[in-house]
Amino acid sequence: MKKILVILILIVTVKLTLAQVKKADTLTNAPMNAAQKIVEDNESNKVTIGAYAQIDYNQQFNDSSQSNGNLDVHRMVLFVGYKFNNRTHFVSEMEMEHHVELELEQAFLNYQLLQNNQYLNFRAGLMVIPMGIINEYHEPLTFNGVERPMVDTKIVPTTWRELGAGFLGNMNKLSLRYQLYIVNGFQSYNNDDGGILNGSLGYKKGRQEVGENTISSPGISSKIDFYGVPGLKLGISGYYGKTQSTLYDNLLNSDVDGKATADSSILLIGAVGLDARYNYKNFEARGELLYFTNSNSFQYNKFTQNDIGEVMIGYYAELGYNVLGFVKNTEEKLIVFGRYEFYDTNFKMSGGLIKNDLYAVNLLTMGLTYKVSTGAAFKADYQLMRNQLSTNSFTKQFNLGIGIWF
Amino acid sequence: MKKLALLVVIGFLGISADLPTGIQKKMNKIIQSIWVNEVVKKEQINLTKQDVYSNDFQLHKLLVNNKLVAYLVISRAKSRVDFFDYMIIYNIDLSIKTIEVLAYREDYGGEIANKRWLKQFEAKKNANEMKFGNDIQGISGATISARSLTADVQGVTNYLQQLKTKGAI
Repeated sequence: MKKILVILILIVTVKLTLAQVKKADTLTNAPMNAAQKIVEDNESNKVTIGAYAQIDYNQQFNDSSQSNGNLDVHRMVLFVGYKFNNRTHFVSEMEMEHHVELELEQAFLNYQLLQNNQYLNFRAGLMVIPMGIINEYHEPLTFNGVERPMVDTKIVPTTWRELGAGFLGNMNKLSLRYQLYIVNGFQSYNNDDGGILNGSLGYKKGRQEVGENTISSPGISSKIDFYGVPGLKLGISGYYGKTQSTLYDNLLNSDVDGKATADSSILLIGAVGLDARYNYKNFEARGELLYFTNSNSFQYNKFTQNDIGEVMIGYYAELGYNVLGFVKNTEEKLIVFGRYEFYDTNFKMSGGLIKNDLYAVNLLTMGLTYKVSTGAAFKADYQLMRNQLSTNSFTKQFNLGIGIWF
Repeated sequence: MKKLALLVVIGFLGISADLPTGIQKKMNKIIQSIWVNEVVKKEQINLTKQDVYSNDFQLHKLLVNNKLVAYLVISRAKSRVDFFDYMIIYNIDLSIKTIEVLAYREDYGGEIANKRWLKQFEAKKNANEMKFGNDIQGISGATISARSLTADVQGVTNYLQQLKTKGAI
């Protein structure tokens, strides 16, 4: 009996000591991981809930006039993902912008065609167009500055999303990620508003609401990223497609004039984007170049009385440095950054139309991103903006904001 | 006694069979590519349930001619909406020999399976030499998975060192 007791005590002691060994590590509970797991048990691991939000304060300064500041819950986006099985998952993002509009940003089904293999996925539904950096990765923790770069707002109308389907995957031996989709395109004309693409807003108004899209001809969107050097990512994106117009609705094949009119209400967009991102220890750099051509812009502008360019361009370069990099044992980051941007929605006009220099803008942003966690940041920056019409005076703007992502 | 040995062998087989065959094949191929022309025996180290690092964690000894040559860990970490499986081979001194992603299921973040990126972990021995963004450069567009894998490797490395200190391995 005594022997048994001794053995029992021994077993209990051994168990206790081993129990102390167990997973004492807190690193695996890093915020990014823990937050993504809503509930720990296996069944619930099928659902992922996340969100990102951006709340801004913008204050403009002009030499000649006064401006009110602007406080804005700019966007609040809810992310819901569901994993059906190891090969199939659904992703959705619902956005509340400026607290009034409720919009779907993404809602697609992804299917891995080869099991446990990243080479080939099929995706269908509402998805973001991979063009440049920000449109695809638009969460506020992924970029510096309170507001997204203007190039990714004025040239690529972030968040540019379309209904479509296509293939994507990673070829890790070649260090390449590819995406290739057939997608719907911008609307360029509708019966209520007439021509809706112009020099001032670019394609912004042409993003179709998710319900009841018009489509007469699909476009092609693709991107290839190279990531063979740690810290570096290079991307090349392409887009080619016609815009959509309601004038093609109920158009009789015999109606030659009607067809000619409808043909004047669309553009053929061809676009190329180059982007680069580089991180090395505390240093970070990124840049982007976008080149969009709008064939048929002369006919379109003549018909709609609009002023969109035959060529639109935009580029930026940004450098940042994390000054908290030398502090040990902190996940906090204080990034000092500067970004120079240029964009022009009237870079080239066709048919003798006069270029509007108002749409050619230089922008310098300098600021701080204080990441108190991997998913939460306070941001502050100062912007100097000048279009090519204003000779000397800069529009100055001070921005404060918070960004969260989990 | 013979019966017991047989049971143990069957036990090993049973546990290994938890992994899908595709993943097992890939794993064996990787091991074989390191110890070319050698017969490598895998022997799982059984850990009591509450001691195990996580539910999806496996720890094996790798033996050549019955001599311990390395430790093999199979673990699982999270990408944005899914989990991925990966393996770490540790040298006997618990420095990292190699890491390979065995199964990545999500469309985003798959860049972490890139060999050149994973090479950054090689020869590292302590979790504090694997500070994300500093010792281990992130991958733009795959930050969540890269961070998650780094955190898991740090956790596993710490855990193995604790096991070693306790004399459990």
